[in-house]
Amino acid sequence: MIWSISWKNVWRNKTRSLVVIVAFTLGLFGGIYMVAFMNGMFESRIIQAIGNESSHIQVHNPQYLENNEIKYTIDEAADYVSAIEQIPEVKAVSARIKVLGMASTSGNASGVMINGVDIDRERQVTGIAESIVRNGGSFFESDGRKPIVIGEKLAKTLKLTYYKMEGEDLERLGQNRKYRDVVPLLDSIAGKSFRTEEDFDHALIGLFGEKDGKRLSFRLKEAAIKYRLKRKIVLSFQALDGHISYDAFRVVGVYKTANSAFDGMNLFVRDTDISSVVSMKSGQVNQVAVLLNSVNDDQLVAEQIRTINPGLDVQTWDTIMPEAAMYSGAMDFFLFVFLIIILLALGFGIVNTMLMAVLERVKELGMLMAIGMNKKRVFRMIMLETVFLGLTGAMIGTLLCYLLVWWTGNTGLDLSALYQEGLEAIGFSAKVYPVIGFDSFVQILFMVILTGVLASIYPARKALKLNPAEAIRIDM
Amino acid sequence: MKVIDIKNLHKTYYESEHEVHAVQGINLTFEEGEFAAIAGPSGCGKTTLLNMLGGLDDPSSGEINIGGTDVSSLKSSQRINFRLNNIGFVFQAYNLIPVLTAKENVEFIMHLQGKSKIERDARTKELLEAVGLGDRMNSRPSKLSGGQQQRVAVARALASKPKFVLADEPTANLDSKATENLLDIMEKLNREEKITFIFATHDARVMKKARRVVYLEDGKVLRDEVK
Repeated sequence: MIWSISWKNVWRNKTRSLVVIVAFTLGLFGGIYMVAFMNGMFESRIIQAIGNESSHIQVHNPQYLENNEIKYTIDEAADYVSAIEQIPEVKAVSARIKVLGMASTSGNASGVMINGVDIDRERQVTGIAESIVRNGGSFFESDGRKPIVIGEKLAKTLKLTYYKMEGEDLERLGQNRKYRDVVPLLDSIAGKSFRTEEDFDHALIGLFGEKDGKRLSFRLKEAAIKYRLKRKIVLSFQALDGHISYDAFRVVGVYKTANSAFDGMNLFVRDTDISSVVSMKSGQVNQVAVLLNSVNDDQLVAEQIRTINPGLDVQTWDTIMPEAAMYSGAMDFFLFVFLIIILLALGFGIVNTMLMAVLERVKELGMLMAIGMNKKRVFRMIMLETVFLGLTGAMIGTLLCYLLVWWTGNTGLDLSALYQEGLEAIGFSAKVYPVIGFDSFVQILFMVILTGVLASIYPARKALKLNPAEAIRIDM
Repeated sequence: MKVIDIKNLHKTYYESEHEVHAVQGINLTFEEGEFAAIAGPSGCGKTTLLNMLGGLDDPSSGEINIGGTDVSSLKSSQRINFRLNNIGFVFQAYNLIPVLTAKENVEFIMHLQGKSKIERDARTKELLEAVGLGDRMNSRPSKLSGGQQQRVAVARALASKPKFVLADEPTANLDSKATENLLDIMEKLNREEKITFIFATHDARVMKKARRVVYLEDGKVLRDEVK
């Protein structure tokens, strides 16, 4: 019956209670959604970092890690790889020759990490093959001599890109409602080729003016960018014997991940094409990357791999990319701190409301104590009332948040028009899929209940200090 | 049988640094089934005496013995429990819980006593019918007249089957018809349930109805009339 009275008491002053409930609803809705958003951002960063960059586990010769020197190899890699493949939790394995070198074209040069890979194995381990851009060729599907696949960022650096708005590009652009009106205005530059980004930007500013030109620049460049496939890239590097070697490759594919720093650094060639140039013996590699069926098995499998050849260095993804691992751990902590701040603010609001509720019910509380309601029950009644007040708002807030997280978690929030370049520069995808675990919701509701209990202490103490004889006679 | 035995009761308190002797050496006894009024002008000590009888206030000296228990010797928590099981209260301003129905208001005290639902339902029905509100059981106080609310308060006071009921100016906010009606109901319940009723009042209608009137003046018993 105390529960029922407390619940009914919440609705005595509907407006006042609703203010607190709405505050809780909005506070928790906003707070949790923001955490879900950040979670989604970091989670996708981790997924794409594991999928495209680190894999779950990497094995190296321990000395290779010191200076990335090619001479520190894993020998008889084929046997080693097949031994790893026997582990049931392993999904795929790729052995790579990794050479630091220089890539040059007639336009520019850049320091790069050359990845000599077995194409079929690499396809299974990383998502690079699926990250080939539109008009960007393929992941080693054409039969050219010495093919090379490079990142879009590197293609730009090496001046292997140009901008040309073609009929098909305009048609695609026109399908987007936001750009439908812009397309006819692009007629004057359609079919024209611009060698650099700056030239294209300049043309856009000429067409649309300074402000709109800059605003439209990102999307239009994305639509018009073309790659100079089949162009030659010369790779130079230090071979095993210490001499500088070089060889020419032809661009067959351009990929783009959400991490532009990775795209600017990493290029892929066939292991057979590079091994002879660097004078590596057959079966020698610098890195073995392992993809698992589930990230949860990483430590277990790493331990098993260590036993295959204890002389090699086996690292899991969280050691390879400590910053990405930090995100996943830090988010739980952030959620906790964030909620404490929100609940602290809401808690003071609830104290104020409950204090008003107690002070305007002095006579009634005095009567209850006079007729024999003990202090424990009075305290419980006020505490329940406070908890109900917070919990009602929290339930509505978390439910709304859950629905929005579910919805946007499926559709994704596209921030590309606003922050794509900035986000990709630090390795984040511009499309965010908010996500939050069910256990977080449980944790939040528990914290709301705790806030309610703590917030009820002061008003309840006020009530308990009442002298029933005096309280009854007070004129309200 | 003695229900209340008051011996040499004194109460002194301080108001703006002045000593007020609200009750000065009162000796009284109340027997089971009495229908008594404590009367007197404002400030004569009626309410102070009633508060001490109800265990809501401590005497400065003297003793109040209720059914063999010295109330002033009880600890705060024991006293709350003692009130719950031995004393019924009717207040001037009804003091019902506004969010509860008439039935729930009456039932609530039995819930505090830990009585079963069957017992609570039966007693609530019996009492509300006895005060003439059998058809208003599910009405909230705001939907009842002053007289009706006070009748619910009387039913609530009797719900716990107390040794006696203390009613502080129960008719002060009622018109004469409602007062007469309420007094008739209380007298009927007093006879039927054999529960002692003690009123603090200066309402002549209550004094007329009471079978014993104790007149107080300046904190002392001036007259004790048994009709």
